[in-house]
Amino acid sequence: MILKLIQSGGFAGRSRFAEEDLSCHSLKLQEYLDSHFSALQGKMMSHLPPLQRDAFQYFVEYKGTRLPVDEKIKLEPEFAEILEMLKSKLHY
Amino acid sequence: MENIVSPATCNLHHRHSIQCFIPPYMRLKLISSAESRPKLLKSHLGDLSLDEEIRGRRQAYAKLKPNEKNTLTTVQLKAGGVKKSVLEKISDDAAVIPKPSRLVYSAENRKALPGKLIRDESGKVSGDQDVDNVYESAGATWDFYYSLFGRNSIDNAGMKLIQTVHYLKKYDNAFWDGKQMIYGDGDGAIFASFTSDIDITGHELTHGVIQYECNLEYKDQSGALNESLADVFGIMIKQKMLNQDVRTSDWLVGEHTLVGDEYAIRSLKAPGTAYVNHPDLGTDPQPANMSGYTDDPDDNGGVHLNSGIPNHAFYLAAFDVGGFSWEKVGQVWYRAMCNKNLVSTNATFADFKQATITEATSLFGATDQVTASVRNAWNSVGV
Repeated sequence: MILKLIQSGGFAGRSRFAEEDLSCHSLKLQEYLDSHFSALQGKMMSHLPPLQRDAFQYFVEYKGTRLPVDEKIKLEPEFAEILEMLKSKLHY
Repeated sequence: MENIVSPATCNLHHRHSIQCFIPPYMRLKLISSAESRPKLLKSHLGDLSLDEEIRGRRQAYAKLKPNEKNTLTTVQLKAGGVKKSVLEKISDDAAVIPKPSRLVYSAENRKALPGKLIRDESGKVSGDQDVDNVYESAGATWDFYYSLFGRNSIDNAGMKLIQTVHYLKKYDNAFWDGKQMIYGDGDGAIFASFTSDIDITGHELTHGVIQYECNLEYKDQSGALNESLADVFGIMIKQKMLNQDVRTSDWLVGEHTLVGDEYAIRSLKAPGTAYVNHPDLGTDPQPANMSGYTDDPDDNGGVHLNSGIPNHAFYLAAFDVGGFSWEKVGQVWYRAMCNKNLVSTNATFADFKQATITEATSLFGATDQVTASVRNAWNSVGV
């Protein structure tokens, strides 16, 4: 299964993407995402703090569901680590 | 004294209270009693300026209270009757003439804000090009708003201009966080430092101005208007800095920030052409007309995309009027941006169009060419 990170917004307004094949990662992570993605959808409500302008926004996409990434939500450590790694691989 | 209207000469030998000057103590009493009536206050302060020019500026001016001095400054600058340099010679009190208060920090390629203070108003150049760039750009932006609109900083109350450079590593962005501006160094391949263009600083500072004025919600059409106003004032600030009129300006935003002489980030003159066949970005996707309006859920409904439409409307109006963009059409746009009765937080393009027509009518008249140019510009972009 593919996990996709999307960076959008910013001054130039152009999106960047990065993907990771989760088959290379622990089964525990995939099970976590399968069972928790819907629950995370309720928690990761909004993306940009209200007064920020031209800041980047981040979304994750897994099995056709896209969620905004909210840095305030504590994520499962392996998931958080993958997101950080994906940020370094973002491309247009 | 240049730019001061001289009084008519009194031909009578005796002191005549109507045709000669009222002594300062009497003028000050009139000012005190007129404090609650702005028009009368302005009139007396205007007369005081003539009096004090003739009698001895410092003596009469020194007798004014600080709020009276501020009112005098604002009234005279707005009326264009006295140059800023003249007023600066009148008073030794630096607080009377507002000045920008800039603080530039470095995040030292980390995340913590604001970071380490590198430069302030003490005057010393830092030697860090990014620090010095944004220090100067913010000064020019402050001066633009104050000299043309009488606006003292972002909140119109002397708010400090706080900026942080060297945010994170190779960060391809600049943004306003509600309190300050933040700039990245760029990756060096696709984007250069985001301190490279004055219009980017002008853009971000204008987001702050919008926050304190019509506070357009950052999504869909109101968000695209928010982005457009930031570009429009950013480009005017660049044009004024370079003394460019509507014909000599290239109308490009971020032309030194996107690496490559043939690329810029946005074009108000021709949305969709700022970069063409860029090896990484492809082609500029901005529309110039409502027929190209696109809802992009990844960018709050396409705020950076659809801003091309009102951007182009401003360009068309300004180009049609001619001269310097800030002199007429810029005034219309500023007044609309600050009119919370006409421009609500969820204003649409059509709402803003109407606001600009109303302000143009108010400034120039319903049948004036400026008003017609504004209306035609919006019609041309399909709003």
